[in-house]
Amino acid sequence: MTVLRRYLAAASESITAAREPVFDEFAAADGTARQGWSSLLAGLDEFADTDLLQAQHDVVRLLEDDNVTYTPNPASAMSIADEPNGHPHPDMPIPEGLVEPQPWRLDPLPLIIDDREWAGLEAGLVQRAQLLDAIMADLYGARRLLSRHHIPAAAIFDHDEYLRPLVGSGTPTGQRLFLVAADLGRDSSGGWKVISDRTQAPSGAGYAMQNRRVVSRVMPEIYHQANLHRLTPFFQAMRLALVDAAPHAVEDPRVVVLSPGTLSETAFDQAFVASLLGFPLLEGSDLTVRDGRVWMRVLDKLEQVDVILRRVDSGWMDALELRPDSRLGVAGLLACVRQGTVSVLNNLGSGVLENPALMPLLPEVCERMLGQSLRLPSVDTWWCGDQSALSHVLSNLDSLVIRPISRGHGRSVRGAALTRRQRELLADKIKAAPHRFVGQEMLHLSSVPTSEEDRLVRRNVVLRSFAVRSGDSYTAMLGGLARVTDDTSDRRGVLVSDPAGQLAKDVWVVGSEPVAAPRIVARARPDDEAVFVPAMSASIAMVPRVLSDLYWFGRYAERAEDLLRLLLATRTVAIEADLEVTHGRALDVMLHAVTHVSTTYPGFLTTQAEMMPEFRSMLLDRHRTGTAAHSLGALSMAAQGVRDQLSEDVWMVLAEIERALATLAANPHDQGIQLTDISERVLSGLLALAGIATENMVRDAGWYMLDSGRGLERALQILALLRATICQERSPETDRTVLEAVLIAAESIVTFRRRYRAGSGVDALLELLLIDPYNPRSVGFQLQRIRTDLRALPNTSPTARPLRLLDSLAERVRTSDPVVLAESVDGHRSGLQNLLLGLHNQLRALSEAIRDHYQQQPPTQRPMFRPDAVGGTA
Amino acid sequence: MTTYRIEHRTTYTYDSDVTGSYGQVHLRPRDLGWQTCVAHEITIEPEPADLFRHVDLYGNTQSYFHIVQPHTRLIITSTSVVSVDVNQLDSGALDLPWEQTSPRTRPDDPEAWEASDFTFPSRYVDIPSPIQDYARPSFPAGRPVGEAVVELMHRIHGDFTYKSGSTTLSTRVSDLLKKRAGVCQDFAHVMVASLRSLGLAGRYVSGYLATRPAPGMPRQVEDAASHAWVGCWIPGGGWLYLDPTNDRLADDSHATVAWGRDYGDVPPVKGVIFTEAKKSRMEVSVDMAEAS
Repeated sequence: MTVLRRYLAAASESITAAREPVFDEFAAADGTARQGWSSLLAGLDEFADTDLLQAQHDVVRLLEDDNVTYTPNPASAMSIADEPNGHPHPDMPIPEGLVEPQPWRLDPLPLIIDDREWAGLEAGLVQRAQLLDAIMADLYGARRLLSRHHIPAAAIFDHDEYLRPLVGSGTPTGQRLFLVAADLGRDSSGGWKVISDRTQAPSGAGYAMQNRRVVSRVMPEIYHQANLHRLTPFFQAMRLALVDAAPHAVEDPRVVVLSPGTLSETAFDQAFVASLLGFPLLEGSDLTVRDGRVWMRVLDKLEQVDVILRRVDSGWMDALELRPDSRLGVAGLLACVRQGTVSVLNNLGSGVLENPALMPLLPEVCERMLGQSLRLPSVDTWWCGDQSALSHVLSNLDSLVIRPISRGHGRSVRGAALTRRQRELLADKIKAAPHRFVGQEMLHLSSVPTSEEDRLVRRNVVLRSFAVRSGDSYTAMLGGLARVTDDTSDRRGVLVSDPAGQLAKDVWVVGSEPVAAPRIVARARPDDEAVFVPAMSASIAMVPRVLSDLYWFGRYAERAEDLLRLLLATRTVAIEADLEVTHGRALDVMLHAVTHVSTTYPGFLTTQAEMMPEFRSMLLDRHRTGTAAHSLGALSMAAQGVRDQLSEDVWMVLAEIERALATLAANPHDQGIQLTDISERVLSGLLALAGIATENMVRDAGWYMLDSGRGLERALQILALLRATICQERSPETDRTVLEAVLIAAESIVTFRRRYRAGSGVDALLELLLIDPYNPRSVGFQLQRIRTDLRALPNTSPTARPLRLLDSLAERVRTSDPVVLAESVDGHRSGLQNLLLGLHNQLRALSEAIRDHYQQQPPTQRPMFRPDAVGGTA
Repeated sequence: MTTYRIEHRTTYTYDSDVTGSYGQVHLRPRDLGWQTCVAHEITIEPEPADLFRHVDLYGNTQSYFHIVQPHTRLIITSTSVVSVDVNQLDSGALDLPWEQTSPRTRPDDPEAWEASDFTFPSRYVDIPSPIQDYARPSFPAGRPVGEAVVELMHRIHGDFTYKSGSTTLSTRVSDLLKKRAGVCQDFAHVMVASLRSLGLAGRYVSGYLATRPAPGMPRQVEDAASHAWVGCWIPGGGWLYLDPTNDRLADDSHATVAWGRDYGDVPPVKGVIFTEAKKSRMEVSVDMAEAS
């Protein structure tokens, strides 16, 4: 029996036996599969335990390859029932905990919804978006809902996200609520209800698309047979709506996606949406306000920004008028919004709609504002600002979910899960400010087959759906982001608003007939979401932050690569030293070189250091500056910052490198064989990375910056290696071994042997590694390379400081005489040593000049005056 | 009716160049039933590239400016001519039992919903439970609201010491209650919090107070300064304005510039600068003279 049939049988049995009605998405009460699941059932006809395991394994691997992550947010951990711990001042920034991105978790089996059922849901979502939009326009405009008491003022005035500076700004550009999401669950009768509305800056559309791409690759046949509605039309609608939202008649409006940064909870989602849409992903420091407009600080000029799709919460968008400490937005933005020169989406202040106090009012407000009855109900909600609702909530704390009206007031809690003490505390809190709380029914939620090792288990599911502005109305995504809770009954009904620790599911809306054409916009290749390639190259934003990230991407990639070559070359010497004692001295030289070049002091400079543990540390220790692991970590960070600019192959390669290192880390008893093997795997990964840059990247300003970073790092590495190895003269045998190891580490041994007679020495080596302008591994070559790169960048005159520094460096290298430099006095090559040190210092100055010239960030943002020092007025 | 000419100058100096400066000011006196702003002008040095004016939801006029010229000194000078009368409130309204003046208890009053905006905690006015304990003695059941709030003002004036430099903007009401000292903003914040703790609507008012020189002495520029006081909503009467720092009702020596939930809604000048400067200094001078 296959896994699905086994689930079907077991589910029907337990549904029949259950005391209260239960809804399973797959198994109907009569033991048959529900409408829409037939293709999955047929497609998985022979799907056995091992196939299920394999599918999960494939999913994990594909997600790793795309570096799909979610970063849990520690700030949201405080619940409304926790003991208050002081009153933090609202201006205090939230402390940033140490958060590491976690791998995104996805179940291979989708949630399937028949498109006839979906049609009703979709109409409800669209109507809800229209309703929320109308409420938003009123709350920030005429405020009739408040003056006529259709919405109690307390539910709005005491909500953190009601931003008074925006009231009456009258959205001169006529912008409407752009993107609305709703978290939905089923009640026990199977009807969908809204658990919470998401209007601030809804996340998840990108994850939904990513889920689809992975599932379609893991189960391609079923995917193609499933009469499945596509997600791409939703993103096309989104793109159109963004362009339409431009405030004035601009022919080709500049749209940007504003992210709080790579450490934010849903950084992946933000970057992925940006690249799906083909708009640049920016951070606050990339923007500036001038002449009452918003501009992007690109390489040599300012470019006006017309539309900002924000993933930054409203309150952080303008340090001048909103949170004064915020650096996530752009100072002066509100003035621009009032001038009508820029559209910010969702409209600033839209977070006030994430307000469960509105839920019980929606049916009436919907009648009033839209003249329609509300199609999609919310979960039963009691707003405690209402006297009778308050007593209902207080006497039913056990069976309700208690939510604050404003998310900033703390996480929601399930009354039943509280201790007695917590319940009393919460009741007191509610009584002290009843209007700040609601009680909500606990939805039963439906169950859905979910993989757990080699079987399918029943898990509760919550569905996040999306609707985006489209003309005068909204278009819903034909699918969504489903999430299941890991444990069953205990968390049933809990508010699945925090995806940490949860498993996602793709959502398939399927028809009984093949889906003829995408329902929104025709596409050239509507069928291939697996290879959906975003139109991104046109949108690259060469802001200083991006250029800096690309430059360091180049430098760290090169640094890691050169270190691995050096480790491998040194390892070869070590193996020879085991066979022949005379190599012992050479090994010491090379081990010291490893420490000097990587600056992992004290390393081999102490006598206790053992080679294998130290080499392991060089590969695996992320927290030790100078190790390969450290460089790879920094490389990955730089890549995160420019995710929308990099080919997906980059992540695949980085994931492969991570897997290789994890293999080594898992084997602490390795005697060196695996270490060599893994080093070679990592090295070949890094070579692949270099290949991607050479073969697949458009030659734009970003590429030139990346390449100059690579060149500069390589030159620095060669100089450091030469300084650590050949500035002293040793016995001929030792020197011969060292020379050869240096040439291997510098990937020039073949050329050396071909070009120079046997027994050639330091002078030949210097010619090849220092001066030769044709050896892509020489310092001289790098200087030319950097020069070519910089000249290709805009805003680089021949007299720009980086070029002047390059000229003087090149002159010094060109005029060096290798024969003279190779001469030693008392075993010391002090002339060589001075030259290498001088060149090293000049290169560092060049790097600083490049930073100042191309990657200059604006000066630090501060308040006009530190308020702490204000003595106050009279 | 008294007419004043007010010159309010704020000077910032920095120890190195500021390359961009975004500011927002609340400096224009309001037009009110008892007050007319006859003339108003703001000059900013260096000259800003942009200067936009905007009226906020409370009816305050605010200006936004952006300076792009690098500078180490910024001077904002506001010159206003304003005529002020004493704002007389209907004494009948002041006789209402205080419990009946909470916006919550007046659902039929057309102003109540807007007044209720001033009943909740705000950025600089937290409402810890000790503040209610502090306010309560002035509000026995059924006491006329006028009497109650004036007594509250007396008590705050008596219990708190005026001491400049004793507090900062991040001092919370709960701290002020312990410290029992502060400047006019703190007096106003404490009183606003007291009113709100009982469900009354309390607003923060920013403006100027004219001081009269002692007999025979010339009037000194430093005598006047920007000032802050409090408004309490009285159904059917409008707002009663009280000055807890000076223990008196606001009168024709109080020129109103702006009001909001607390200082944070209406600072005379605030801004964001871009600079590597480590130190900054601010000097404020206000000259308020009766216009001839």
